[in-house]
Amino acid sequence: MLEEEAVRATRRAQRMPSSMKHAHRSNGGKQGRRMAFRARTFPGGYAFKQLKGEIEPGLGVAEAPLPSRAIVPLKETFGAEVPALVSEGDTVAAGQIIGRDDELVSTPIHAPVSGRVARIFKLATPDGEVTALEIKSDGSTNWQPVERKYSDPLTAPPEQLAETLYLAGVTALGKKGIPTRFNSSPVAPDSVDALVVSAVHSEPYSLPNGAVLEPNLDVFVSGVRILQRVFGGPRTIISLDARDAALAPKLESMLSADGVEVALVQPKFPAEYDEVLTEVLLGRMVPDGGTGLDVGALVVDVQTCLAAHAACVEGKPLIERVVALGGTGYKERALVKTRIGTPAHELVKGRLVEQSLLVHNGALAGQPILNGDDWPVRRATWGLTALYDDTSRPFMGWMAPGFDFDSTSRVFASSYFPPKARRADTNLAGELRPCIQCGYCSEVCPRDLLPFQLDRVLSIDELDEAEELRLFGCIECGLCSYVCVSKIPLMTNIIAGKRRVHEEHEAEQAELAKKQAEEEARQQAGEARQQAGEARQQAGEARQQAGEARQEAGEARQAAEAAENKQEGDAA
Amino acid sequence: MKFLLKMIERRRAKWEQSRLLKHWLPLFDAIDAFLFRRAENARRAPFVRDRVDIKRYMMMVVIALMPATIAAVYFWGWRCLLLIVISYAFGGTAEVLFSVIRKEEVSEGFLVTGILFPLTLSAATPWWVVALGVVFGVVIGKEIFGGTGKNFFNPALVARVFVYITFPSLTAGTGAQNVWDPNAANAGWPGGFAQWSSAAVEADAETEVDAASSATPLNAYKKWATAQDEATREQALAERPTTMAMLLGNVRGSMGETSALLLVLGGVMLLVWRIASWRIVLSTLVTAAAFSGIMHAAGLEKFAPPVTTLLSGGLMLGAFFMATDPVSAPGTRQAHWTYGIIIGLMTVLIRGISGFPEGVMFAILFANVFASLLDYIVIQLRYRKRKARRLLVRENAPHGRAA
Repeated sequence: MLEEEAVRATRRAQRMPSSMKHAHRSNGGKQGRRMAFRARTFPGGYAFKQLKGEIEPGLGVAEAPLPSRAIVPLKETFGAEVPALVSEGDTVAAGQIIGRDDELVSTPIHAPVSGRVARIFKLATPDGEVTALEIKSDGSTNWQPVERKYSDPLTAPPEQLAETLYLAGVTALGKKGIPTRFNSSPVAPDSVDALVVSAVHSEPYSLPNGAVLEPNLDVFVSGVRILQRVFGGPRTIISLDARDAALAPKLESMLSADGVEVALVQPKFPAEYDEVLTEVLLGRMVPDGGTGLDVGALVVDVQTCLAAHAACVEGKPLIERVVALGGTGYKERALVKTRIGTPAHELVKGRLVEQSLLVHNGALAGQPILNGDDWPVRRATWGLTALYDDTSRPFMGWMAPGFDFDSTSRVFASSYFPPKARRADTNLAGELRPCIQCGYCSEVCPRDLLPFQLDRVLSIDELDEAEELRLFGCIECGLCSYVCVSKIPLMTNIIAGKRRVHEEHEAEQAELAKKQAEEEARQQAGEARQQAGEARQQAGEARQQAGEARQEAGEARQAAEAAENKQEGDAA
Repeated sequence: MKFLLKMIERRRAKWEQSRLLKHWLPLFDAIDAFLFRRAENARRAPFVRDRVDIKRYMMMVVIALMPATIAAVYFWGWRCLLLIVISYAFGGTAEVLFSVIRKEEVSEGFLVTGILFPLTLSAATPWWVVALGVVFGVVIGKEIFGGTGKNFFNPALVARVFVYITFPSLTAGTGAQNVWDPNAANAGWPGGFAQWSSAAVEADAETEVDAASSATPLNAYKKWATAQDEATREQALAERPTTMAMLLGNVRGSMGETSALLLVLGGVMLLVWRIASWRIVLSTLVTAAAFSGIMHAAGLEKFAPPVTTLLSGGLMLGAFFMATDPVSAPGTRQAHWTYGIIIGLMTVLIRGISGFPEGVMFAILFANVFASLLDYIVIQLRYRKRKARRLLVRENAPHGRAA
């Protein structure tokens, strides 16, 4: 145990830049703690001003009614698709595992409501087609607990806790939904030496974590301790949004005995992304295309910690979560706790204004929910954003003084007059034009890329050059498209470019494998020939030896004869 | 306005169906988008967008040029405005024609070129020179490279150099008698506002430009620095304008370049609006001042002292409004520093050593050539460190989020 700790400490020291090392050492002292409460931030990014339709601070979480049906895709964000354990017509109970594969990187899928499996069908999702189940609810709010629960999880063996979390489907509920059990996830026991709990929310209309955290501080703290135990006591940092600074001293006092650090982070988008957060909090640069795990940091969000406690102490599997309903497309903003699998359209029914666009997750990097009633709330759904779909055509709209316009440039009156909630709708506010290299995109890029250069080389299909320009360094936050003066869909083009590189890479690999196989075949043939040659040679040698033996025998005979002759001569 | 909107929307169908008018849809679209914001809505992320668009972006540059433009009218009369209108009309037509041929939308970058070019000319320039120059600038400076965003050179400067070399006698950068000239017909208030054009302008343009051309600050300085005998030197010294005159614009020169104060006013607005790169402006001005100061202090009289360098000729106009053209400048902000230094050095060198009194436009065009190279160097320096890491990631890539 001590050895492990020592190894972990050295690894940590190697990864940290020297300035961070010092900060870490002084962390135990009073001064270090005070330092932690100064909100941290990062270069690049964009701090959104107050937008219209933002979720009002102080809004409580409301309980959504039980959905009439639930759509359950058999694949959660990060994992692979798992086989269904039930078939059409079966009766299932809420919390029952209905899809599972312990070998794949995946988590078990639970029935979020009790009822009957009405159909099994293919659901189109942003990650491609996925098999999904539709469960018609029977109206019962009961749920079936997981196999094992603990009155005091902090004395239970970590492996058992991990197993319970796995069975309860508790994944990191952030963007990637990384599974928390070792043997079915890319997280190896010794690959996590820092646990980061992210409570920052900087994307427009994102779920205010403070509202979820505040009434559940005890549960949250218990969840953090469980996760700490599961991962063998890593360095733990809770990153609070600077707007929730009031919670910091409370958390600090509750968790100081556990060696947990509390840090404030400026709500500058995209602070909640793993790649940014690990850099801000730990000073570790995530390699291009990697995740926080590549630098030993697991980033989980507030609700993961709550779910960890619910699973281990109450035995409650992950069948519900809090979802933010924010944006200018809603009549009233709300935070609702709903069953996972609730169809999005059912959840927002009656809440939308006439012209609105419903978006899965955030306004910057979300996916549009354009058609179909089958788009469900999933584990990684933190919000359903609705935006007013403005199709009006104001006269000379581009020359408006813009008292409520949001912009990175300072060409509108909003930059010079008292703050006012900024207008937010889906209108592009301009037409697609060629790039003029204004440089806004590279200024806001949190990864220090040159999106306009990437777009240029991708448009002429120079994939190698795009990789030189760190194509895979893009974390797909959408800020470049947001600020573009020429309204170029930079992020969309960059994502498409990544896909093209992958395809090309796979084709190359296939080609390489083919060549290798051919080469091997040729080599084997060669070896066979060689063996045949050797055999021939051996045969020749054998013949030669036989000849030599014969010769020797002849010589011997000759000698014998000579001797005989001599004897005869002597005798004569 | 609703009536106009309805009319335009009704017309669109007609244009789209007509065999002849169909080709002119880019023109229709340009007018349509200019008058009424398009009802184009985001259907992929991000779903909210920054409110600034290219029309606004370019128009803000035009607005920043307004102080200098109004001053030009005051100095030389309303004919200045006519030259600007001619520039917009002919250049705009060339722009639209190319859009129609290429079947692409009309780009608003021309809003800036159209006003910047005439401001670099003398108020006495004949209108047909303006027309010819702006068409040359748009076609050769921009369209043959593939249109807006693909040009290497600043189109306004290409046009300027073209007329400067082709019609030296008509565009020697002299301007004509300024409103402050005691002999001018329009001396004092309301100056050019009450006049079509300073009387001397037309006379100059047609006949003896050279005789009147000596009075731009740079010409006067050159004359003083290269004078052979004391008498000429004395006379030249008397012609050299004071610092205050150069600040306010009480000198001869191109329409838009005389008043350094008003140019700085507009330029600072551009910097505050975050449209022009402050890095380019700062490095250009500091380099020009420092380099000329060093050369002057070293006893080389051909090089003007820093104050004259900064306030005379087109340096302010060039540094704030031309060097900062984002298309022809480097795209990376680190390269902006070097770019500005090149412009500053070249300006001072051309002014001091070459036969031309003015060097800003050549210096900027010269630096334009290096813009892509500077970007390339910055990218190489920035990303070389990451190379090893990237190779590692490529192996892991299929597990990444991009899959």
